[in-house]
Amino acid sequence: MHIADIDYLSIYGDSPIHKITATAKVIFSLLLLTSIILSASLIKLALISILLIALYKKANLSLSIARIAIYPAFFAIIFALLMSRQGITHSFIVMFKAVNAALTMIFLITTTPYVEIFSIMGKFLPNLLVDVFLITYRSFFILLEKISNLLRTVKVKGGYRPHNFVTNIKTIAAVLGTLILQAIDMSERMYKILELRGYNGKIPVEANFKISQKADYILIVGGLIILIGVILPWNIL
Amino acid sequence: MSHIHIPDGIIPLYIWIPAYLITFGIIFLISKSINKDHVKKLLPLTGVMAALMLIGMSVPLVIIPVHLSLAVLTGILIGPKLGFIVVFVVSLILATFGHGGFTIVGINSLVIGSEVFIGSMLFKLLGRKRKLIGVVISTVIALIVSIALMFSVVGYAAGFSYAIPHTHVEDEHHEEHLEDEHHEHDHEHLSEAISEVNYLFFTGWIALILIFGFGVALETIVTALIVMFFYKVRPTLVDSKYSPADS
Repeated sequence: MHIADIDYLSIYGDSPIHKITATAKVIFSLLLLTSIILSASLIKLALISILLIALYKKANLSLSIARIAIYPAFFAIIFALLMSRQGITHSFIVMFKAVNAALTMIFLITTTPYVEIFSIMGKFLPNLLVDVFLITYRSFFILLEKISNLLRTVKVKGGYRPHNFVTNIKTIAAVLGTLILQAIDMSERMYKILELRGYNGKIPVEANFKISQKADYILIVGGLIILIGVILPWNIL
Repeated sequence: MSHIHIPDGIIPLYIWIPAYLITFGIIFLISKSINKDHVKKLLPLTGVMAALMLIGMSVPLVIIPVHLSLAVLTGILIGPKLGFIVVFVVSLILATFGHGGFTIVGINSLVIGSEVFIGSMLFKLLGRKRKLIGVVISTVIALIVSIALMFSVVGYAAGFSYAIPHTHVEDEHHEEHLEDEHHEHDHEHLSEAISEVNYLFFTGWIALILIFGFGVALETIVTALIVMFFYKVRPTLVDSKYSPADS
């Protein structure tokens, strides 16, 4: 899922978009997402795609990071084909919606550090949920590394046997079991760390929420204009 | 394995908005009712289980058009309340990467949440005396209920074609239909949708039963083997006398 790349880009990115306040980017992304969900016009969705590509360019994001959107595109193609009876336009609308929504979220997470996004979520969501988000995100990287090492070990030690389904299933279960045991050990260490640091039901995350720059306002107003443009009926054809 | 991948714009508003509201209602109730000390102890494990579920759910199994969810295992290890929180977090993160739309997060949370709830409760009931049988029955029943729930909700909301896993789509009909057929699509017949399912050399009901059967069997085998592995190496994790899920 290229989460490591996303993490790197969001923290070390140095474009004008990266400098915009996290709150403004979250509001803009939500407005854009609402516009995408509400839109039923191919032209409007295509224009949103063009805008997103322009934003990627402005944020100095390589379009290769947008390849993550191939996954939703794949699912959307299946659904688009199912909808082909309702016309080709309808199929394209389904595909544009899926890809645009994914591109919007990829834009947000590649230009805003995850701690800032979660700290904004903490203003509205229960602390428990935000804490689970934070630990999940961090654990994901560590576990990916661990599973990759475990799978390499299995291969080296001859644990994978082509055409032997039963052995392979047993091996997969043992790998997962070992991974979960390691994960549980890791979670016990995390608990001790949280205890030592005085955890009392909320992991403190600090971020600058204040919308103050000109660029913040431009982005939010831009998002509002897009939403209004989607809701109001118009057509260039 | 009952994770729904429908993109945004297909499920109608009157389904996904109430699903979100119910999900947030459940999360609110859980965060109010749960024992704070219990959460403090289990929070790291909850996050770690969510990460494991995320790994399981983002890897397609290739041989069958479904993926592992490890939802029942999560329920057994951390209990139904924190299990539901995990399901919501995982569904939302997966939606961020386009693995299903944002409009489906609430429905996915409720469907997979039911799997967590039923699986963990049944295991609590049956796993005390007969461990292996207990985990197998709990997983199979939880999966069947969640699949039935997924099938009904998606079938009702968008048409049965969306509820059925698809391996081949190239033989779809391409007849020219006009705009007014949009409404007809909502009432698509179940039999017609099932007749279009293909898997290996089979079509229709046999293909559908094979896909879900293999999926349920695989998830059950993996869950059972992991739970039995825990009984061997660290029984306190799953033994209901000590399990954190019970505290």
